Amino acid sequence: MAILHANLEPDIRLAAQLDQALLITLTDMATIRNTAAVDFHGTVNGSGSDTARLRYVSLGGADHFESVGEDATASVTALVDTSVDIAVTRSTLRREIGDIATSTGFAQDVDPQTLATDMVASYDGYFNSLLTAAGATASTTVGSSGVDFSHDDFMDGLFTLELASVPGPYFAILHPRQFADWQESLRAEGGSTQFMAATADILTIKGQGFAGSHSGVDIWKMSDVTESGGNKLGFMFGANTFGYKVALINSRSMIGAGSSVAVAVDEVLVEITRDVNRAVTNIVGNAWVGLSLKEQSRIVGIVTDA
Amino acid sequence: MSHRFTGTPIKATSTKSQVVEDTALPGRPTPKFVYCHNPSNWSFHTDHGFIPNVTKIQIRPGVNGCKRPPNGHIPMLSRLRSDGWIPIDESGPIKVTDPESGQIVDDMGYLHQWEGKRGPIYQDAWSWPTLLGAGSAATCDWSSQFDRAGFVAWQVQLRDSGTVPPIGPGIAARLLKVKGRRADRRVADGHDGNPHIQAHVNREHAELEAMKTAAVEAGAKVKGRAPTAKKRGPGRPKKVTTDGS
Repeated sequence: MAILHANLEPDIRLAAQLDQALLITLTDMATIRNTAAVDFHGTVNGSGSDTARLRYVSLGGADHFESVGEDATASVTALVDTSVDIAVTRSTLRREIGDIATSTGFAQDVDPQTLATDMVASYDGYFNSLLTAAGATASTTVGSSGVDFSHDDFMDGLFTLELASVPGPYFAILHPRQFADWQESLRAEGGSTQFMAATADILTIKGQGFAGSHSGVDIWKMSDVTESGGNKLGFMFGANTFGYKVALINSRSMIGAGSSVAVAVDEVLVEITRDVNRAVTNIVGNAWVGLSLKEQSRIVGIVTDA
Repeated sequence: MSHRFTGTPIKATSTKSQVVEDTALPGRPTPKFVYCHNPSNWSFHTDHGFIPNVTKIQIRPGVNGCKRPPNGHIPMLSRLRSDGWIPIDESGPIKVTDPESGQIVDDMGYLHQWEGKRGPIYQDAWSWPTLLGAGSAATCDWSSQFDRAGFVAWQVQLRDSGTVPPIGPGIAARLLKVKGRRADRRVADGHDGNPHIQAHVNREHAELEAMKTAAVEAGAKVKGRAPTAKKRGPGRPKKVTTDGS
């Protein structure tokens, strides 16, 4: 009788052997946090509040000089002021892994260190969702409900910002659905658009995150773009439209914390603690962040079919 | 002559595992929200004229000044009100399409909660889930079954009931200008006889004319007429030389 693999399972051969590599399932890993698209306004540490109020006044030439008569009394021009709040709140992600699960792992596997390192990626995803939620509140929109995104919508957005004298650089956050519809629209474009190198560039395959520039606008694809009313709520904006603040947890919070390892990874505090009674390790990431749309006049929403 | 062979019915597939029905929906949980209307945000519908757009304001701590629950959204909504936004009561009357009859009917409350595997999912009354795929790879599509007719009927209701004030003449004029630019952009391409582009141009101009009528009703001043695509004339006759060339 021949020695067959089928006969050797499960004593001599394995039904399946686990591969050494640890792969990651498909997820949107785009990050926009460390770009010029969002202003970082520092921390609320030592400020006395978890909420920061950004103050705006009509200076910088908002009020022009006026011609008056030679001996006329100059009238008083009042300042216009407004403000925007950034409320810093807590966000967290907790993992828990048993000792035997860690010990039986391969060299590259799910273990406390891998889980701790991955916290920043999860934080970036959370940050994206804050940005898209804030961007969805644009009071002026272009596009049509239930109609696919087109190059006309893109240009309408651009014109809207230019007419409002919004300073650049410009950014656009689009859902992959909107981006694909735009690619479809660009294929049929004529005139000057069809000859632009940027048009050809946009039509090439795009992965996650930054998808290229067109007409001076940096385009980002994000699956976190808000959906509402059967539409995707993308948006285009200029410089200084969004701002965020964080709270950084320092050693004052750790006094008397007992046995734990705390590592500040970027804006995330990752702590690893042992639960010896259950023989498990807790990996907890905490981040305190708030993000706000600072000025409505600097943004235009792009509302198109989902 | 009968034979002694017998066949036993068997199954091509069998499983010992038990499939558990899971009614919770896949996907990330979503926060509660309030629909708000900004007086500058309107759109044009060919059947209903100008209708108010509504914006989904998520009650999400950390976004736009929203603080921690349970009352952290109150300062955010107050600020929106002071900036001219109009929050729409989430328990108020709405219009939806009756799935049985297909008719638009009255209902109450636009904020609906669905059970999600990872937490509650909040959607509006017009969004219905469609499962794509199965198992761990399953996703939930909320847009393909969207009740657009019901949603538009609700927008009309918001306008006609006075929940939101009428569109301002300046807003109507601005929308008209944007529409006019879009309608005219491909007129030149239509001259070349491409029937697809010509149909597009005609459609845009028909909508533009309807929009002009609605804008006039809203008090906007409308100047001029939209240029229409004309077919090229035969042009000058070719010069014929005496030698016939």
